[in-house]
Amino acid sequence: MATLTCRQLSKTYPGDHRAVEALDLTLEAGELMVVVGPSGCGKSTLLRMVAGLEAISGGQLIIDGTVANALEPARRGVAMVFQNYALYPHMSVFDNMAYALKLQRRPRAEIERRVHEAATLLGIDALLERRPRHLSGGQRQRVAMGRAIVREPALFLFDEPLSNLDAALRVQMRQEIRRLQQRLGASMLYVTHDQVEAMTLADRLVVMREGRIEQIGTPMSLFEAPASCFVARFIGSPAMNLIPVKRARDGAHLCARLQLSGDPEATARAATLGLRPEHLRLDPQGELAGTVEMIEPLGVDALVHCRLPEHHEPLTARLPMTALAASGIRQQGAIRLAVDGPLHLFDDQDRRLDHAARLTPLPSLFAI
Amino acid sequence: MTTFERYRFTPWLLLAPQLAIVAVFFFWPAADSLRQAFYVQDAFGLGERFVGLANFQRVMASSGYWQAMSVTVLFSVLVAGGAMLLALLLAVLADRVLHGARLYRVLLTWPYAIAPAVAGILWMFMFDPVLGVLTHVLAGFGVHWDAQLHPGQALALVVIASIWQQMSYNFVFFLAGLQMIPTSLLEAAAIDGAGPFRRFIGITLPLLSPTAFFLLVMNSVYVLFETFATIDNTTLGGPGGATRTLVYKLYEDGFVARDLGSSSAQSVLLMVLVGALTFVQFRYLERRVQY
Repeated sequence: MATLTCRQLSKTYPGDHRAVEALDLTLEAGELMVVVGPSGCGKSTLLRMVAGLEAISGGQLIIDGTVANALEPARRGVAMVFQNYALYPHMSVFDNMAYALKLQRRPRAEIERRVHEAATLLGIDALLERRPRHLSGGQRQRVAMGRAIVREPALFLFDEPLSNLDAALRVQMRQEIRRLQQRLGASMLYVTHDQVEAMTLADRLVVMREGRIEQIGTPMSLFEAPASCFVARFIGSPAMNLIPVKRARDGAHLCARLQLSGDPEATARAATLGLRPEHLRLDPQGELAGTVEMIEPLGVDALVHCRLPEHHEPLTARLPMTALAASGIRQQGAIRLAVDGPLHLFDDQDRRLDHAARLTPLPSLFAI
Repeated sequence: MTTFERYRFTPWLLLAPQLAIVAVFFFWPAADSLRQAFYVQDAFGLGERFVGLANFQRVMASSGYWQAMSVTVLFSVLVAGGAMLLALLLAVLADRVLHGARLYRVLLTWPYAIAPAVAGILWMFMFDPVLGVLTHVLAGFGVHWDAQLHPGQALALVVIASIWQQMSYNFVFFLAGLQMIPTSLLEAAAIDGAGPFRRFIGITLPLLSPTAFFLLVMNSVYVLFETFATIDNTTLGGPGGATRTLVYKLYEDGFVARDLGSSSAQSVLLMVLVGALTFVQFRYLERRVQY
């Protein structure tokens, strides 16, 4: 169990390509921190710098209070689980797991004990004599984790470990990693591009974009209060609806007859309005009127993709199948939705505005 | 009648040219040499007499044959070992090169494109006792180089020339083998605490073993047969038989001395030897190869 601190950690490749820029991060002891972001955001580079596989261009890497910038990978007390597992194909499962201990010249009895303990923990004790090529994907994944556990590292590093598994196995291994982490009380840094994996596993979540940290926090805090449009789009499935706010003489509008009201600061600066698909509900009196473009049934719920007048961006609502069936709404038909949750406001720099606001329908001209 | 049955003879027709070439240039001479191994011909090649195993007995009893055998063993070990080790070393280095990697690889592969006969002449000129460039360089270091007089120097010359020829072939395969090894394996080993040397011994070498095994078989064949041109163009088997390998002696006895019976017996023995060697390699070494 160790802490990890990054201070202004940077990685610049030749040609002034900045993979990671001045990154500040603290991983508490026993914490599972998930770094998530699209490919090329620098998350793997960060992990490889922590592992010692990539030279650090700037800043400090501190593992358990010691500056580890120049330490050999083996001396950092980290273990890494690779995306392709990186099992040694010419060694048995036992030898794969024992390799690090053999290099440390541990007594034979201790090596056997530790390998068997880890194998039992992961349920692979029957496979110890096998070669990696005779294992299934899930078993290889377990061996790769076993190899990390055997070393009793201060910090576990995971580099998209589940991306080569099929969907069902991924869910199972995800739970297993979580259980294992709680049981060992280990500190883990986990990199993935899969936001569901990130949400379900993380104690704290780091969203990265173009080499910088976009936001750090618990999965729920990121879900409830995304710091930027990028995070809003990335966290949550289906993604948050982001609709540009229109400016008029009498304030901010979503559509011609739908005004944004509330905190004057918010209404003055809001450039984008965020609405979670879960926070929309069918309502014949609802303030949002549009046309249904497509209905995707998911089972219990359906995703209804609508189009608002005057907007190119589709608006997606997650609606219960029963309500949808009862309403008789069909593709290309009209739909009215009410907002049933918080509005997220973002300024013209795509940063979050923490002010309360609501959508107010203006009275129709005919009603006056 | 199905399509396959109707065209039963078409595959044979398509294979015919290749089969004809193999039959004319391989099976026929091989069968002929097998037959001649049991006959003695007269000096003018007009008549022959069946002698049973007498040719084999004569060959086995001659000290010249065993001298050629020991030269061949020494030569083979030096060339195959040298060409493989050197190629491995160069491949490891070329694998690490970041800038101009392509150029290095082309240059290191080049010697293989040169015909053995041309390579032999090249080396002959460089090490010529009178004209040779390298002879003069060596003289500067106080070494009196004359491969035409000194048996050790003659052997060294053909060994170097053969290694230089074969190394490129080995290099290409070793480099390809190295590039097949996933980087993440070496990274995992680095995190597990293996330094560069341990990584090479513990991970790289075992994963290269299929390549190495293949090259061992190919190099054995090369060194036993294809080095003929190199020897014929540099030392002519001399001085005093110091570079007379089995295949060169076979050639001398058969085509220079016109003793076809003895030469054929030697070629049969050589064939048996290579067959046995390949069998042993597959039987005992392949088991230890990691795929």
